[in-house]
Amino acid sequence: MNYQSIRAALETSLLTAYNDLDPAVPVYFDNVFNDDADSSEEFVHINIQFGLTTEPTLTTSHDMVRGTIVIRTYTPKGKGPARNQTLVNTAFTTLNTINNTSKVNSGVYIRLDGISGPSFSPDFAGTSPDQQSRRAFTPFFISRIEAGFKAQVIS
Amino acid sequence: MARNGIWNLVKELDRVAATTVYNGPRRAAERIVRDLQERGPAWTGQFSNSWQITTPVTTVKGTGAAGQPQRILAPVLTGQQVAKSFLTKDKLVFTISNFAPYANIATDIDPGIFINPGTVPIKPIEKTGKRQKSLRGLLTGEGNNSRTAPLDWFTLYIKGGQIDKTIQVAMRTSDR
Repeated sequence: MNYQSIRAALETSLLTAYNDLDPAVPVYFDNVFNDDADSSEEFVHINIQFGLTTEPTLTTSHDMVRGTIVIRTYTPKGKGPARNQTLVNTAFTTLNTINNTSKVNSGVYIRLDGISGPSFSPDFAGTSPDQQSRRAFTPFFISRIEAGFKAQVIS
Repeated sequence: MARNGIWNLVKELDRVAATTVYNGPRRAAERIVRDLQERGPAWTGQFSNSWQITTPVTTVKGTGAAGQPQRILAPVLTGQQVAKSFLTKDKLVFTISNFAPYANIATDIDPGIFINPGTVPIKPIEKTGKRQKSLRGLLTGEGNNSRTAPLDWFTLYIKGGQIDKTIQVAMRTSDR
C-alpha cells in the first residue's frame, strides 16, 4: 500500500490549482498547518483520511483504499460569500477533473463519490444572530466540501 | 390444518416478517451508534450518550448524561407493527442523530470555543497540540489543547467505507 502516492495525487492537483489563481491562495495540508495563518486574509485547508483499506472477500489486492477528503476554505468575515464560493469552485473543478481522469496503466487511479457541500460556518440562516453564537469567535467565514474516494495503486 | 397449526403459522410469519425487514436495519443502527460512540470524541461522555435512533414507530435516545457510553438498543417490533408501519409510510427509515447542542462542533462541521472541564477524559487523549481556527480536531505543533478523536472522524466513518461495512455485517448476521 502506498498511502503517500494517493495523498500526493489528491493534494498536488489542488495545490497547483490554487497556486495558479491570481493572486495565489495558500494551501495547508495535514500536519503542515501554518500557525501564523491568522494573518492571512484567505487560505485553504485540506484534510485527507484513509478508511477501509482491504476488502478480502472481494479481491486479493490490497492496493485498494477508501478514504475522505475535506476541503475548508477560509475567507474574511463580513464581506459576503462571493469570494469564498469562488475559491470553493476551484476545489470542486479540480476534484471533478481528478474524477474524470482515465484509468492509467501504472500509478494512482482515483474515483470520488458524490461531493457534498459547500456548507458554511457561520450559517447564512442561523437560528440565532451570529454575534450571540459561539461561532462568532472565529474571524473567518468558512466553507466546507467533502467527498469519499476510492483509490487504487497500479503497478 | 388444525386450528393450533394455523395459529402457530401466523405467529411464525409474524416473527419472520419482523426478522427480515426490520431486525437487520435495527441491528445495523445499533452497531452504527456503537461505532460512533467508540470513534467519536469523549471527554465527559455527554456527547457519546447523546446519540438517538429514530425508528418507524418511536425514537430511542441516549441518556445525554456524563459517563461511559451506554449502548442504545432500538425497540423490537412484531411483524404486525412492522407491516403496519411499512404500509402507512411506504418505507422503513432509521435515522441516527445526535441531540447534543454542540454536535456540529464535535463532528468538526463547525468551529467552536473549547473550555477544559478540568477532569480527566473518559477516553484516552489521541493528540495534543495547538488548536487551529477553533476547530475541535485541528491540532498542530506544540500546545496544551487536546483531542480524543481525530479531525473529521465523523466524515471518515460515513464516507470512508466503514459504515457500509458495518451495515453489511449486521445484515448478514440477521440473515442467518
